[in-house]
Amino acid sequence: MRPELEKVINEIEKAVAGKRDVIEKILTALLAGGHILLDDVPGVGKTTLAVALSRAVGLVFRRVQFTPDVLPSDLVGFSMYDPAGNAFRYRPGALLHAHLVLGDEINRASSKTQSALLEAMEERQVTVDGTTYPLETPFLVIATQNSVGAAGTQMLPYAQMDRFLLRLSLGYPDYRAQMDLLRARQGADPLQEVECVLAREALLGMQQSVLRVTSRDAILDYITRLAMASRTAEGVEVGISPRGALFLDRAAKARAWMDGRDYVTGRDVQAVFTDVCAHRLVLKEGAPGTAEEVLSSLLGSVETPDRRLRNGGFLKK
Amino acid sequence: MKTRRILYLSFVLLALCLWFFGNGTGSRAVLFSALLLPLCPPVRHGLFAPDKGPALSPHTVQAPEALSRPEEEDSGDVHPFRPGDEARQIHWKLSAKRGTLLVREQAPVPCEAEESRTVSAPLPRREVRKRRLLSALLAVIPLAVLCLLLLPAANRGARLLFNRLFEASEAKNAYLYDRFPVEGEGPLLPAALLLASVPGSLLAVAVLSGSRLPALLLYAGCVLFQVWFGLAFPAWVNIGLCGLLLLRLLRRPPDRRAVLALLAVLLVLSLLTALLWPGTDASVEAASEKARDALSRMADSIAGAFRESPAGDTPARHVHTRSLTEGDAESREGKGYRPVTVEEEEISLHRWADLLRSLALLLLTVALIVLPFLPFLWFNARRKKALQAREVFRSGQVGEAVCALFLHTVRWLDACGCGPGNAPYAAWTPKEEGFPEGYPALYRQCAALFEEAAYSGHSLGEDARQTLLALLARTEETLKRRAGWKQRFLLKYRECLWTEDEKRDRSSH
Repeated sequence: MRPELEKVINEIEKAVAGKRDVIEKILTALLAGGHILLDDVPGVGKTTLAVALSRAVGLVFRRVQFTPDVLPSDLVGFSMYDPAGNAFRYRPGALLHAHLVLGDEINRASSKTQSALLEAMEERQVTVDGTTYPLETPFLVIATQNSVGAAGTQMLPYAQMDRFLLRLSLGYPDYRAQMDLLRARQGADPLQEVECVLAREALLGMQQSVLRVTSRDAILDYITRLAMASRTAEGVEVGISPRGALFLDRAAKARAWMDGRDYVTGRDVQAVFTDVCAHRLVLKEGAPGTAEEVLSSLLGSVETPDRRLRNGGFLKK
Repeated sequence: MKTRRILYLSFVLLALCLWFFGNGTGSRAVLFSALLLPLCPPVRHGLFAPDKGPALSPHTVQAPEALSRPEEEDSGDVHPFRPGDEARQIHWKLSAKRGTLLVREQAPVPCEAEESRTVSAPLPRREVRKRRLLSALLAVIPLAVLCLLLLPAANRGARLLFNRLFEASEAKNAYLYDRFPVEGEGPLLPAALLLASVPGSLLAVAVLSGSRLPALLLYAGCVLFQVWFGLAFPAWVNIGLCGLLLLRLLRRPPDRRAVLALLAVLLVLSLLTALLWPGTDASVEAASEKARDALSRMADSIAGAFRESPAGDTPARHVHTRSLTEGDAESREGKGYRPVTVEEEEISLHRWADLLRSLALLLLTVALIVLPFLPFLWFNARRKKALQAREVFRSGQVGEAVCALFLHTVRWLDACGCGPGNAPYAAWTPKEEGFPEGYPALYRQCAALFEEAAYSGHSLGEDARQTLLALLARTEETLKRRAGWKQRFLLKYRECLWTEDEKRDRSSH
């Protein structure tokens, strides 16, 4: 782990203790330029985590609470008629001028709002009345979905879940972590102690470096074989799409860079595989096992690039 | 259906007993038992159940276990309290009298829902018609057999047909006789139709019902027919029938492809055998036939049943009088034989067969001589290939050398069973005992170097190669020490992991 990233993680851990792996994964998504879906029960610290991250990296944070009556214009902005200037003026929405957007309970938003958000995530710009307004860089959306109390909501369909790079879950803390949490809140709010240890420009530079990390043919072959194997695995209706394979590559690059290397190895792909691909699988009805189990069995059965090299493939370039 | 099966089996057993212990009437009884076939609904259960399709056996309502337990109370319908019984079913009065809790029996709930569910959807009309057709086809078989046995005209016709068939198969022998005794002539066509209807209907049932037993029966019938009559269909007919049967029995496509390949090989072999098998000389055959015939004539004349027929312009006709069935001697007009003419000997096919035969023998001899040397040749080729692959260890490109060295080390570890298998090599650590101290750290370092060499465009320095060589040396040493002589043998000769001169080279390096 690179030292500057170590510092960031340590800072965030001041506010959210005991979730180091989740913080690492969020940093992976941030460096890879992807978005995160947090599938979780309420009250485990999602907002705290997002706020801590924004403070540690010097990003502007905005929180959007989705309710069924949130309109798309609330997100992307709208044009208002200004009688003084005799023209329409653009009023920016929640997505504008923010680096880190936490969209709470996206499943409660209407489909139109959901697609407005997802489109903005994809294109990194919004178009209102013919004018295009680019979003900030870096731009990260953390959308949360509440599996509890999901009645009367539009759970994100699989096609839209496919657009998120990672799906994470915080989960309840264990005993020690809960004790530490309660102890920490006895005094001052630990969120205030989180300081900015990484400049925004440095983060942008890191994102550029991540794009320059090399993935050799052997690794791309591995990713492709994993994706194709997932499509024909038993119990799987819909496997990993080509977008999923692209995201897997990007996440592996970010992981490799975080590890201090500028080349991707099979280890990196395996480390990010479950998180990147678990929400992309659609299992057949009545199929035993969860998506995670299917993916871990795939990891065991598909030939790693090391083994492929050993068996004589890809020896030259 | 269980009673039907028992009935069926008992009749078959009875028939078989009669056949073995009784006399000729037993064989008829066997055939009578075949009458029972259409009485059992053939396509639904048992032997004729189709392989695919819904299983429509209706559930029989199982009464609750309590009713059939032998150790229940005699008085009325109560049983001792068991955990899980309902409290309101307790018979308080009896329990007070007896001193233990007794529970009233529950009347069995008729499972109407279940019954209606499985007695089910009425069968589609096509299915019903198909089943009726199959029953009709199956009924044809015993009817045809009965007609053949009982109607004298059909019987005669059948026997004539069989005699003709037998003649045709034995035509090249001079020694012809009638298989069945038959009086007079009769119409052949009805008997032929009846005879053909038996395998025909069996074939139709096999095709229509999707079940495998009729195909089996058909093939068994053909084989028994040949055995019983002593005639043989040509090899390709038998192989073809066998192939059809296997295709019917096997379900999955890979099996079928394998079977077709096997059949093709068998056909080619039978063709080659037909061509290359040392055939017999025609004149030698004719001479042996003559001798055989003379012998039989002598035997007949001794038995007193021989009678010379007047000779005509054709060569002498010999008459055989004995038929092989019931043992009665009847005089018969047999067919004669004629000696093979000289022209027929000079058929060029024999020359070709000779040539091919000698060529085949030559090839066989060469193959037999070369055979013992094959293992050595094979091992030598593999050793050379392995040595060539290991030339890379000394190559100028350090990256390639590092990759090759590390992969060779992993091959060693895998061959001894303590390798990483399908895990990424840098994420694995050797856990076996027997490895020296510091080996896991060295392995990790080398794994990182390997990853750098394999997945990045960096160039590595000489020290990387030296580190990898050190790892390889330590791995070899540890594993050779741990392995028994058998494993060492396998490592050296099957996996070609090390050779003597290589070790010398490397130690001198």
